[in-house]
Amino acid sequence: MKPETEDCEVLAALESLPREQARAGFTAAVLAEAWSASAAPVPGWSRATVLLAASVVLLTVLSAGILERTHQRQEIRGQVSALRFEHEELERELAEIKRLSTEQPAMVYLGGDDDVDVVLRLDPSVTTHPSNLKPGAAVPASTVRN
Amino acid sequence: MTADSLIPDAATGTAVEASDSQLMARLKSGDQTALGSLVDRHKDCLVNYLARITGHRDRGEEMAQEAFLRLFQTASRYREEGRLLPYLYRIATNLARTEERRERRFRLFSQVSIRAPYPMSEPHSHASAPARLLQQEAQREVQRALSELPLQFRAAVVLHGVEGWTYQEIARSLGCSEGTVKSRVHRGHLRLRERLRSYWKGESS
Repeated sequence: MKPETEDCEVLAALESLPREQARAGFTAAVLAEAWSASAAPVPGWSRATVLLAASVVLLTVLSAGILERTHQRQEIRGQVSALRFEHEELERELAEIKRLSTEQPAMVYLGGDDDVDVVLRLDPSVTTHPSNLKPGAAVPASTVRN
Repeated sequence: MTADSLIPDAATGTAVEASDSQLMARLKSGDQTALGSLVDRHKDCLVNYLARITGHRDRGEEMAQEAFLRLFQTASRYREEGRLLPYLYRIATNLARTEERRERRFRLFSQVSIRAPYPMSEPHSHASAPARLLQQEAQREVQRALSELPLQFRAAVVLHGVEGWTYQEIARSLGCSEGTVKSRVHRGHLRLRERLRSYWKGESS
């Protein structure tokens, strides 16, 4: 069977289908729907509602902004006070270290007997002449100048 | 023909029927009576097309109403190029596509058919009762085969084979090239023939 013939067969089958028609009252129904659709108020908000909604949105945005800013300020304040506290702590520790270093100068015990202790004082600022040495006095060896 | 669709002919002075373009122009300018004339003019073809596309006469009619309403609502956006019918049928085909998608989604969940299949009008025939029954059976089979085609093939096959449109008109309506339409019609026919072959063989034997 040639394709054209087969196409004719299918076309004949399609053409054999009964033609459907719109029922009586179809046009009236469409028109009624169209009129009611066009007569219906356009869904929308009144001017007052729009203004109210805009005000609410504006207030919400402003409140959110203010809250956010307040929160940020509080956070910054907290961070500043924490830094201050840390700074004071460090200053205290530094002062303590300075105090300790002046009160107890670093020295190395080199030896000695019952009368004399020979020590090496690491503080170079202090010097003692041998003539000034008193018997039994403990002076740093490093500071003795001949 | 309705009185609303008649306009006076400038040459002869007699009343002639307004063209689709003239009716659409009137509709765009706010003359709602033009809609009635357009509906009267095209309702039967559109109902038949949609009944064949959907496989349900009543659903086809509902969809045709919806298509005319869409035409009315979008009249202001319609650009006159002498192609009202392709425009109207494109609206109708899109409605059918949306409906099919909805049904498919529904079927995914329910696993049941929404409507009884293929309820169509009884054909008017003067044939004898057995011959009429055979004819009805054959028509149901053709409609069933048609309904199993994908929509893009079905629309092209119906517009070509049932409504008698040219490939060019179908291409305008479906928004594709003439070559695509020819291909769809041809492939649609192949599938229909394949689907109906056994029935035809059984019928002839």
